[in-house]
Amino acid sequence: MMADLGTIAVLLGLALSLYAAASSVAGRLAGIPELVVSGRRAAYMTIPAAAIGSGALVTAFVNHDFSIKYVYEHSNLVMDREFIWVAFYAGNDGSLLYIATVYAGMAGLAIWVGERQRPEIMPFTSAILMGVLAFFFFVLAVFANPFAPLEFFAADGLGINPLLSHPAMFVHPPLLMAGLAGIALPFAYAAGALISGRTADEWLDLARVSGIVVWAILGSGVLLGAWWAYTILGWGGYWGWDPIENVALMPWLAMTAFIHSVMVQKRRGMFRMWNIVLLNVAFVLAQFGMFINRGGPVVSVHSFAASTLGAVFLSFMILSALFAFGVFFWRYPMLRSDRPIESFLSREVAFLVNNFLLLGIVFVTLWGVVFPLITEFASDGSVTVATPYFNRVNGPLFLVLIALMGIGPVLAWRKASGASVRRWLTIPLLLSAATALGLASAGIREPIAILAFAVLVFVASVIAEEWIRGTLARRRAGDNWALGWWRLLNGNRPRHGGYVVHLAILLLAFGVVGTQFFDQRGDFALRPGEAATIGDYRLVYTGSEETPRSDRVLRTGSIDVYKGATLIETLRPWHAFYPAFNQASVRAAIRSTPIEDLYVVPSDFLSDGRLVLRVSINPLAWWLWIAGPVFIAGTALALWPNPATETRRAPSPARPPAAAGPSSRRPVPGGQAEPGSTA
Amino acid sequence: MRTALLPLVILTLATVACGRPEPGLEQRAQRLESQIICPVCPGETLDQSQVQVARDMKVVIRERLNAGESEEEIRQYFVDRYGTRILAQPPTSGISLAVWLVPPVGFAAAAIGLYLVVREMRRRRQPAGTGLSGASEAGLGPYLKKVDEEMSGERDDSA
Repeated sequence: MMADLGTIAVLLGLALSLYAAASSVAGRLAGIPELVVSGRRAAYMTIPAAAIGSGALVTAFVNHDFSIKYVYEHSNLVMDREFIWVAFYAGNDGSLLYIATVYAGMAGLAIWVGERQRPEIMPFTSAILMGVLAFFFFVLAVFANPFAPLEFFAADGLGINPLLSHPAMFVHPPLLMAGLAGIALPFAYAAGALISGRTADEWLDLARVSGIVVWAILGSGVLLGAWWAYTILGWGGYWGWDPIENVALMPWLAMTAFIHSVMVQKRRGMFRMWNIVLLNVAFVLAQFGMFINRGGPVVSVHSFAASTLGAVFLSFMILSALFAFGVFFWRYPMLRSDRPIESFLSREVAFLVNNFLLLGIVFVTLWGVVFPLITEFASDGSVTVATPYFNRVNGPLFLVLIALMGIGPVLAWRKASGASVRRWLTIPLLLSAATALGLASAGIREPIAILAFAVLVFVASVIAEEWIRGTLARRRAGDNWALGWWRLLNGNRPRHGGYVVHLAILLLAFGVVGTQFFDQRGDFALRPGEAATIGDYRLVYTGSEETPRSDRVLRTGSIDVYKGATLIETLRPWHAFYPAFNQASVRAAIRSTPIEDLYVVPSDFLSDGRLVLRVSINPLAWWLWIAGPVFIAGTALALWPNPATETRRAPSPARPPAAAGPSSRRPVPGGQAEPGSTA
Repeated sequence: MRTALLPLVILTLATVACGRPEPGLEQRAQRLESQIICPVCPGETLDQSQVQVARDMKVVIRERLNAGESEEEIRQYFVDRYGTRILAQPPTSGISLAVWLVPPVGFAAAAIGLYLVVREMRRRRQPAGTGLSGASEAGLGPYLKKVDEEMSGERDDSA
């Protein structure tokens, strides 16, 4: 029953999205508005179609309907009840249905919002959005039907991969997949505007806001994945430069470049072509990510192993790239900047350098992913490109990029004066040099780490300096400290929201440097009563207990942690062996403090009664996870709608681009103390 | 400012340079573990891997270090048995040299390209040939200059 309902919903979704795309374009070209409206309604109707499909699959899971092959392969009767709900996207077919559903919702929202702000570009934009959706439904209908019947009778299913039974399963995959698919939104706004011949800035605000939203979703997904890896994979790491991790990071980096560079277009009317290129690159990289993830030629711990969809996704990626750059070159002559660059020392150039570095990291990462494939074909022995390579090549690029976060904001638009830059950077540079000196004299012997900490202090103090000076100015106007600071942030939310996001990146970098350069680790095989020493800690293994579970052997070890002679904590990591999968899943016990994490994970319980423990001390790891909420807060602040500016910008879509000059150069209200606010 | 910073930087570098301690046996073992891939788990280095093979290889590394072998000799030992794919970072010879050379060469080329583009975009402002925008830019010149002056004046006051 559910299988039939789901299959019908998928086919209906395919028909609706194809019709929506075709009739939008036909109606626009033939000048029949009714056809465009009908296409739009069909686009909205894909949302219930996809939702019914997902609902049918979830219902089948909850009812243990093992006559459906996908349910049989990804659940069983004894699995924890709460994970039944997420088993629906635990495999290739179901996760595609999830993507189709969440993407249909996002595309519907994008069409609804776009229709209210820029109706003139929407027929082509919705056609692009629906074309992508039609692809997902097509794959579901033809190659990866999650409702396919099981060929034989089964009383119980195979169950869910043990590694997926983790709280992060509820948030990491949904956010990551939504973020990757959602990059189609800003792309569709831009490409739709270009095809419509609206090559000024019609698409700009829509693409910027939707771009920041999907960028934040994707970024949160990546960070949650890192946290997941940290607690479950059992080696105390959080990022392994695995191909699948890389293909999620690359579109995020390209979108990061876009949301920076788009500010130049918003404020100065420049970089129009470049911003389109960035969106095209991000969109194609997102397709590349899906290709690698679903049957690509790269071995990874995360990929859907059984998938044979590689060729399908590769074709779609190539098609996307041809379409995106075809539109771009077709409209190329119409995309020109309003203004030239005036000085090398200007915020425009700072944004260009930012883009250069971000795309540089994308390029290195892509090169590292594909190089093993090249050698596979070109020579007999293949090579591995793993963590040490990426750290060595991307590490310095990230450091320069972070340093630029401190320089860019103090440069004025158009042309910065050397005197002003010096005035803003003197204190941060002194603080940063003092940090380096302090760390070196405190006995730290890692020159790169010292340099990195100095750079972090530099950037943080540039932001702090601006906030302190601005708040001081507000205080003279009569506000108290807190109110003055809040009004400063509120006066220019995109700018200060950006600073908060920069602070989140600094926190992340702080954690990365701490864990990369100062970690200690050891493997110990202990009998009950025996102790191991690492750093200042002494760990005593007091014994383990076995909890009977139907699907696994669950053993929890007890480890007393002493610092000196005092018992500070008892850690209880567990190790679960799933005979059906012949696979173990572990959960680390972590004593987390802002200074360092003590991380204990049971690698194995040996038959002679010994427990193999992996213990590590990860300094500053706590800060990695603090960065997440700060990142979200900053994004929210930057995006919070501003009624005043909306009403000022909304009318006169036909305004010639050059006329936007004076108004966009108006001094920002309340921004007296901002460096570079002269534009 | 520069005169104040320079001694600080030199002092810092000097402090760092003189005191790097010789790594102990355990440090060298762990360094090797992060450079060698576990042969049965794709993409994971020995220190990341939890499987028995990886644990055995860690023991081998320690035995060989104890026996006085250098890190290079131990790397070579594993390469001889498993091929170059056992190394987490490709060697700097043969075809793998490309993986190291392409990024810096690409960057240098892109940086030069970026410089040329920016210079070209700068030069374009001399002739007022960009139509409407150029004209309005010229007309707005005095106004913009005044805004700039007022703004920087305000900043001086507030700072």
